[in-house]
Amino acid sequence: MKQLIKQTLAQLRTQKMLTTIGIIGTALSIFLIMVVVMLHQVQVAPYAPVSNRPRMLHAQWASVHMIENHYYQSNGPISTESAKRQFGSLSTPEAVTLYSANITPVNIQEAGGTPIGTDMRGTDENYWKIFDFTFLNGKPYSQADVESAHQIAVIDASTARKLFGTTEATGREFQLDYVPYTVCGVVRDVSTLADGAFSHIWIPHTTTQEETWCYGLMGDKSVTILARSSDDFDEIRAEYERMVAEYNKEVAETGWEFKTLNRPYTQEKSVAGGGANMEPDEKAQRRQRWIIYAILLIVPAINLSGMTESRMRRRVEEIGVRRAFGCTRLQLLGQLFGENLLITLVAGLIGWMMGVAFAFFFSNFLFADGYSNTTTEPLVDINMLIQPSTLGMALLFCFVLNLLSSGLPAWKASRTNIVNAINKH
Amino acid sequence: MAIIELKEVNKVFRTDEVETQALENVNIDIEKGEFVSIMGPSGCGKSTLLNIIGLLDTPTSGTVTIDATTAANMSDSALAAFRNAKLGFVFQSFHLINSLNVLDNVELPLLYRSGMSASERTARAKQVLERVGLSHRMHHRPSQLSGGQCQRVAIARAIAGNPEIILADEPTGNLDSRMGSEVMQLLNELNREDGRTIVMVTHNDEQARMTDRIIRLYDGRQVQ
Repeated sequence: MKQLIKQTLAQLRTQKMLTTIGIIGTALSIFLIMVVVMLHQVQVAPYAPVSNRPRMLHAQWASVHMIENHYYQSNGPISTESAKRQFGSLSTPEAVTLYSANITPVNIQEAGGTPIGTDMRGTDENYWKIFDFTFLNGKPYSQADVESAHQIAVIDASTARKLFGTTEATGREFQLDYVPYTVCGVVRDVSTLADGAFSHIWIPHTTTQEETWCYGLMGDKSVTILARSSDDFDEIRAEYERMVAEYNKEVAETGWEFKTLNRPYTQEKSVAGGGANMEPDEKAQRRQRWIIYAILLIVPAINLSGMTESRMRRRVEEIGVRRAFGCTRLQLLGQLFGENLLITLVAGLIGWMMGVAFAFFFSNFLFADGYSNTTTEPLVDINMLIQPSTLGMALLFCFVLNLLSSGLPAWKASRTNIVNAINKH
Repeated sequence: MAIIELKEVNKVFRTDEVETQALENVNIDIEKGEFVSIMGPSGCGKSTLLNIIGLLDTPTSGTVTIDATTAANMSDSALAAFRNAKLGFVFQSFHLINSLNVLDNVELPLLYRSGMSASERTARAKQVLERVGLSHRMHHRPSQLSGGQCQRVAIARAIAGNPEIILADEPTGNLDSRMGSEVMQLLNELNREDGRTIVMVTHNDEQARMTDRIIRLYDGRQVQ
């Protein structure tokens, strides 16, 4: 390894121009790929307050079909009552929360103050167990608060500052759409990218009137389940299917029944797109992503391959000497591949850092959600971008890029005739 | 028994248009500890012969036996290991790796020897550099050395792995007479003091006369 590093540094010294161009090219390639990777990673990677994403299952939407004619269907948020009946008594998960599927634009103001437009979400008490918000002061509302429809609210730090000029706002009163509420806790700001966790104000869902439709089967709620382990996902789905079958019998007189569409979905499947009326195809999405990664890797690899070959050509005499003194083809291949990998890793690290910096500074347009109710710009912090999985992907791409760009030149170099190499033929 | 044995060796270079007989029916026995020079006009096949003896090239026909081992049908890794253990090379243009310093250049053959630690490699490289009188230059790069010093580094590299046979292709060809004499003196020492077998290609009659035996080639044929 020491020899490999020494040799790589020697190459950097002797072939400055080619190596520098190679590093820049590789860094830009990895940068491009990492930006694409991060676009997906922020939707699925765990970070506060969605650190439990790997153990989460979501039923963001529900689907009902007319029993006599499945052509007629309704898809969207589920009603509180249906959600409680279908998910409330699941025994396998650690916790289940139901909360407003969409954030609601509201006006808030301190008494006598100027109204400020912001986003509000109604939730139950379990919401605070599943999503790990950072409380700057105060605490979340309890089951008793939810059941009694107490007009209390958790607000985020920026809202607290806007309303009261400080984050020390627990116990302060404000008006939400002209209804008085008391702050029970202040949390650190949440990114719009944390899907179900995002809002500026959270209130007990019981303090507002839910609009239901389709005989009360559908409403305005989404459900998130926290499994004890991802191994329990299948069991949770099976239990949920049984609950839905039971519930369908009870509501049969409405002429409608729920279709589960294999819900609840994992985080990856949940963000895989598609409408509420269809099961997301996360495999197709995954395939599509890997095809994009492959294209983003192959194109620069072809260019870098030419540069690597050029570097090899300048070393043909050295290759001959090494072979003469007992280096096997495999050792030579390993050395050339290893040297290039070290350079690629350095370049990859630069590219990855460029990707993180770009995503951080240009998050407004990079992560903007075209269908969001909120006017809040996507908040991205470094913890969301520097994920072990993202770094792992960067390393993987470096390895693949190295394999593609140096594999053939290194293999050709290792097959060079020794005498010709020494005589530079 | 001869340490180098060539029997009816032929080498033909073929291209689409031309076929060139570089060596024709060459039979050579070189005893252990002998210092042999190969002479002949340019293009007579001297270097080709040396490359075949060094197992860098294969004959079109005939057999090459080095230290009782016949090279035919050896795998790439077996050939590499055999070259590493038995043979050391000195080239006319030195062929030092310019990106490495003198010490690293001399360590090169030891990198491919299994079971040798980094400290052992360095110690051995320093030892042979001492032997060729260049220990004070070990951290210099080849570009910072004179031609004679470069060739001494190349000789140090050739003997670093302690091979029994040294193959030198016009080792003084790129040196002035004084430096050439120094290199010849060094090769003679390696032959007489260490008992190493040396095969040297040269155009220089005077240097050839300093060796135990001269093999002369003409148009690929052995004439002496």
